[in-house]
Amino acid sequence: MSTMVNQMLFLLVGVLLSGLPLLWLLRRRVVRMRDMVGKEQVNLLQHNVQEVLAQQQEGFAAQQQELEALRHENDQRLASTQRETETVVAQLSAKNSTNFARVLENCDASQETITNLLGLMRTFERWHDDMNVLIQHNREMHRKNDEFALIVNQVIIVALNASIEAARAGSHGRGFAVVASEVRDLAQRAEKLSKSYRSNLYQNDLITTTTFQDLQAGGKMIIGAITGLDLINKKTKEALALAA
Amino acid sequence: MLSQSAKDGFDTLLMQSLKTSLTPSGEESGVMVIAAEDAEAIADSQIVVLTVSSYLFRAMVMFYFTPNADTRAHFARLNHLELDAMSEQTFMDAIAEGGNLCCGILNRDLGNFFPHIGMSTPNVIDKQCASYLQKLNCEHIQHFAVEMPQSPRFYVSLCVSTYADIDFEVDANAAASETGELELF
Repeated sequence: MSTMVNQMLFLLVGVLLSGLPLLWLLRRRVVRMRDMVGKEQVNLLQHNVQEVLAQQQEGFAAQQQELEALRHENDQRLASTQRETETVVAQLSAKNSTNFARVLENCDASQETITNLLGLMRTFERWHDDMNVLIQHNREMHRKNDEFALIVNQVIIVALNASIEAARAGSHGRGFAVVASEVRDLAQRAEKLSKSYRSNLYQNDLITTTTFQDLQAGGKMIIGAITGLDLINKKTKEALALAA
Repeated sequence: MLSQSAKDGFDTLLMQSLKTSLTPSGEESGVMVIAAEDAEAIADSQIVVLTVSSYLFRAMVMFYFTPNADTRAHFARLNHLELDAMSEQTFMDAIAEGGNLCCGILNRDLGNFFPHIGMSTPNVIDKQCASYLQKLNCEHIQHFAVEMPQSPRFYVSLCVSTYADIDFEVDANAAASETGELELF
């Protein structure tokens, strides 16, 4: 009897032990089922998503079209700008070529003027030759004045001798003494004039020489400046030839 | 108007060029260029005159000399010539060339301050012309004596006329060190 009761108890405990996890699993499935969305709800959601997607696709297509139109417009504008730029570049290039040609022409004209100016050298040489003639002329005047001074000295001596001779002749020589005295006065004036003339000739030598030297040096200064210009002009021409 | 600094500059440059051009080689150590008082006291008989010009000024340099044995000996040494082989013409050419060389150096050095400048060729005039230097309307006249141990004392006059305000400064020490070769062209 007791064995039967025990078996019954074991059976009961066994049923209880196996039924409890089953019960727990059932309750969990019920809770999960309660959390799940209904099928209609899912369909609605799907429909909504498809609508939004379709709307977005339409918007995207419109934007793409708009972008395409914009791109086309920009391409046209770019082509137009390129054409305009090419025209401006061509115009500028033509103008540049004209200017280049004009500058080269001016360089050539300057070169010709410079070459002509360098011919001034001949004028300076002529002045130098003229100075040599003048100096030679002054030397000749010095020589003649020295000779004149010698003659005047001689006349003074002769007048002095005449005065002595007149004094020897006594009362007969009185008239002659007056003449001798006059001659001596004239000779002394002539001597004074000769000395003054000599002084003027030396001044003339100094002023003539230094003035002509100034002309000559000034000429060299001008030729130096023109040669500098010539060099600059040639360098400009070379630079233009390289740039052309 | 010539400033005092410019007057000193002209004097310094000429003194340097005199030392370089008038000294025979090997005698450089004993050369002295000093300022002299009066041209009237100079006993020489002739002058070699040269002009360095720009449009702002003209500088006339006068080298006094007497064509005697001492002067001939000096220029023979200066030009490495045999004294006996030196003709009258060679002697006069040597004196003129001495002046030419001196003014060439002066011309070159003044070119550092005045880009446009030119120099004349030399001419010989009588010493008595020096009595009329004031007729040249010079703003600056300075006489120099060049003393060398084996040569006669040479006198030189510098006369500067100006046509504008001129002011420049020469560094005497720098000028002394720049005694390079003169470019002849």
